Amino acid sequence: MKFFYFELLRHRRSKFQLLLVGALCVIFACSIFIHWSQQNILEESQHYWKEKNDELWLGQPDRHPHRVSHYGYVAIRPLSALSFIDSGVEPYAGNYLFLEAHKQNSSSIQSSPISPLTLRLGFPSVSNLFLLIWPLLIIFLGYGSFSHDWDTGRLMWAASMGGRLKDLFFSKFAVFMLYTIILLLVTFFISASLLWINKGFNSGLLLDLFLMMLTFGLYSAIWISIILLISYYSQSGLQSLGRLLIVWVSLLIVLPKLSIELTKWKYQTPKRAVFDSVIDKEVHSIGDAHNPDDPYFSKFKQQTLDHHKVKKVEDLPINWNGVVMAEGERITSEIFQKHYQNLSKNFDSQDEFYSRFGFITPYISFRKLILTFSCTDRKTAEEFESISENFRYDLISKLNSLHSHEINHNDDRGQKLSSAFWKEIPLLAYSIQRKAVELATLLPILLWLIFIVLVMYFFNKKKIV
Amino acid sequence: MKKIFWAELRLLIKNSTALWLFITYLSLSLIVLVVGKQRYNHELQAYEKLEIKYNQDVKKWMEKKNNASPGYIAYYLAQPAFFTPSPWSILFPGERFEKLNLQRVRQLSVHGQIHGNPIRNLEHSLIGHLDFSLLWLYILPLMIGIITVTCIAEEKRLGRWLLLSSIASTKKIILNRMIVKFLIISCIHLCVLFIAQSTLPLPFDITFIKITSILTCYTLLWFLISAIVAFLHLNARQSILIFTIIWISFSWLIPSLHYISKMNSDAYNTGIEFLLDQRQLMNDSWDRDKKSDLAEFLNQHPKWQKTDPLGEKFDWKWYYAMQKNSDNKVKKRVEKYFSQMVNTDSLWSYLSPNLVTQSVLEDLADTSASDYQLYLQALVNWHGDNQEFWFPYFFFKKEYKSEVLEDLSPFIFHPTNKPFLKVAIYWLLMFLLTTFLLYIIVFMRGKALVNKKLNSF
Repeated sequence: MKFFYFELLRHRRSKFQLLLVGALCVIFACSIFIHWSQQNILEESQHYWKEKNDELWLGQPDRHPHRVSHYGYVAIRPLSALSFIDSGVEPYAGNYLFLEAHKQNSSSIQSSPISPLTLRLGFPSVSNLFLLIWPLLIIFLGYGSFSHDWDTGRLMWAASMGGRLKDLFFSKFAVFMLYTIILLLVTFFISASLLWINKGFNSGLLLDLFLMMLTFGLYSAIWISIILLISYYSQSGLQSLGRLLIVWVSLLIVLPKLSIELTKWKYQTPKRAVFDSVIDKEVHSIGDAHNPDDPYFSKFKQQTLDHHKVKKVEDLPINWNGVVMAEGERITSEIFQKHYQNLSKNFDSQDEFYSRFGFITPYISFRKLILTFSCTDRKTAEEFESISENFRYDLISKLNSLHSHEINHNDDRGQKLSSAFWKEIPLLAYSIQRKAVELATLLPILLWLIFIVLVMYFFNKKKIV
Repeated sequence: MKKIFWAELRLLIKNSTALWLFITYLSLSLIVLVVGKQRYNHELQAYEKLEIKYNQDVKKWMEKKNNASPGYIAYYLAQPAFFTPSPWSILFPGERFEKLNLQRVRQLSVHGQIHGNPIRNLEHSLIGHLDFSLLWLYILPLMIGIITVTCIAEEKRLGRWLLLSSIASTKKIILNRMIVKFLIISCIHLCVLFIAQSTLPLPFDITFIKITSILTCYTLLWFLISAIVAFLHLNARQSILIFTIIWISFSWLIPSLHYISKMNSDAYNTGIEFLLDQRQLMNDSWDRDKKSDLAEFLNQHPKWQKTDPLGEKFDWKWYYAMQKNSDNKVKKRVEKYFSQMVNTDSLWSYLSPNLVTQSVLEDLADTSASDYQLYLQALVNWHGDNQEFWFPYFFFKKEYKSEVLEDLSPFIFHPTNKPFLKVAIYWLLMFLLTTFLLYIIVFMRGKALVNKKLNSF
């Protein structure tokens, strides 16, 4: 405890360090406010478009059900409540999905046309400040922790005062953790207040926010351990700083990006145009509903006629055109789902492979964990697409059923149905659910926590010589 | 001067840390080359697949001889539109992989088809790509800082500063030290560029010279910045801290402010606005008076006015006219959306040499947001030209012969070269500014500080 107070005193004397932590608190607060206000603007405009879109859908006049199925409905992906801490994949994912007959995920439009890819060192979110910038600042605060003491002979002086290496290590570790906790508390209380303004008291969100802070805390602890270890093994402050800067660039900038490239090379993703053309080809290989001589639809027609024990489509108790539409929709949807699931599996394999690099750099697993807690991960974005697609299929199936049962086959195109029919169909109600943390993410984190314990054990056993 | 130069070179070669740093930098450059080539090949392969599929489709329609209806063909035949990558995109992919560069376009409304996102693992986009923009524009400056910014502070710490000043002018020594390091890094760059040029389909043309010059200027600029910090005669820790703050400001803080400044509420939702408008107009038209809608279209496009009156049955000419009408309706909104895509024109961006150089290199490699905007515009124009091909079949009942499908024009797009003068002026100003600062620090403040130290000693 005595050495902790000494260490604290040393830090208090250095105005520069207090200034740095103070400035960082201000930057964190500014970042939270900027992202929170942007999130509010975006939410407001999404709310406007949701209302307008529902109004347009419900305001449709009496019309043919097939026209309704092509009129389409826009599914709007809501923003995660914690996206002002970590916007995650949100700036990259489409926010608006146009749903209509025969088409799956056809037009996914982003809220902003500007790509965040310009920012090569990451989006300026609070989470990036914690994951990228904060380790760099701890490096500046702590690179000389041991190396500088070696240089100045202060370490020997501390030993002569009865100080053990473990006391020095824990005191330095505790001071840097104290800085981290100050930042975490500032972030937590500002964020919790803003959440309360937006969503009222929500224990689930508060728990997620707390878990995020805990994750940032553990991540900082890993970096503090790395810094103290490298500082101990460096002969001078400058050597320690150089080494730490190289470690920072390697672990946080180069390795994550290199791992991504390796992952993409191992599990290639098809281009959208190729993906669509493969689906088209498969759909057409089954049958073409517009071709009267098409073998599949001729057989299907015969089966339908046999089922209803009639000889001509005109004698069917249901509208043949609606039946064909429903069958066409079933075929395209099944084929799309098959390919979409393959794609999803491919992404899962990519994630699984990529997560292995989490054993080399803590950034990868901790990034993933934060994304999961803030509900801004890939799986949450894809869940929206998947739920929207299911909604689309149900909606179009209902409209095709109306086409089959409520529209007469004679003068099919000339008939209209009352708008009351589609006003009764429930609209898409989607809310974000947080995904469970994956084992592939947790294992590297566990290893990194063991690393902290090992570093502590090392300093506990080591003597100043 | 020559003697000092060779002595400094020998010293650097004996410095194992610096050597390892250079070797790592070279190896990383070579890895980035391989990664870039693999990405480039993947794009070309995807286009080839699509071309084969398109040729098969055309063949299938041609096999139907003259029985096929042009309306059906135009509806089903999806032509590939590919923004052919410049070989320089291997080095600077820019925003290319976040955009739809390969599309299948039919004769329906163009704006109902061409806007969207490519298939990709979204978390990969979040982490970003490994390319030469990152390596040369963001990692290189930090490397320059690590190897140069403490050159005076370190000599002072080791107590060699006074000794050095007694041998020769310290300014000359430091200058030579910087020149040696600058030359080694430039040699690595040239090596990488020549390896790239000989192993990849990169042409040895004006772009090659421009990229080499920009890279050299950029490296020199960071050496100048590092020299300014070094000649402030601070201790090693302060020097590195100041350099890192400059680096963070240029590489992260200013780009972030630039991005936030572009994220105004005006830019939100222009995409969904025109998408909804276009779809609504098209789909509502089925329930409106088709004859008056077509009459309105013919008034706007007198070229097709000499067509037969619309009958009671479904007519493809009405259908395609409405598709075009829906595109026309959203034309202004689309123009606004396109203009918002260009993300470089903010005052903030000029404060960061990283950002300016990044946009210049992306422009040269045809991978910038403005290139993508031009591509989309070219796609819209090409779609319009193709309508000219199909419309006589719908409006004037031109006789259809299956061979005409071979006459369908393919999509060809080459972005125009961007003006280079603005960039040249920017670089000139940056050099003048940094050299002026260096002059002030080295020859005025530095001199005063050295004299003061010597006197006190």
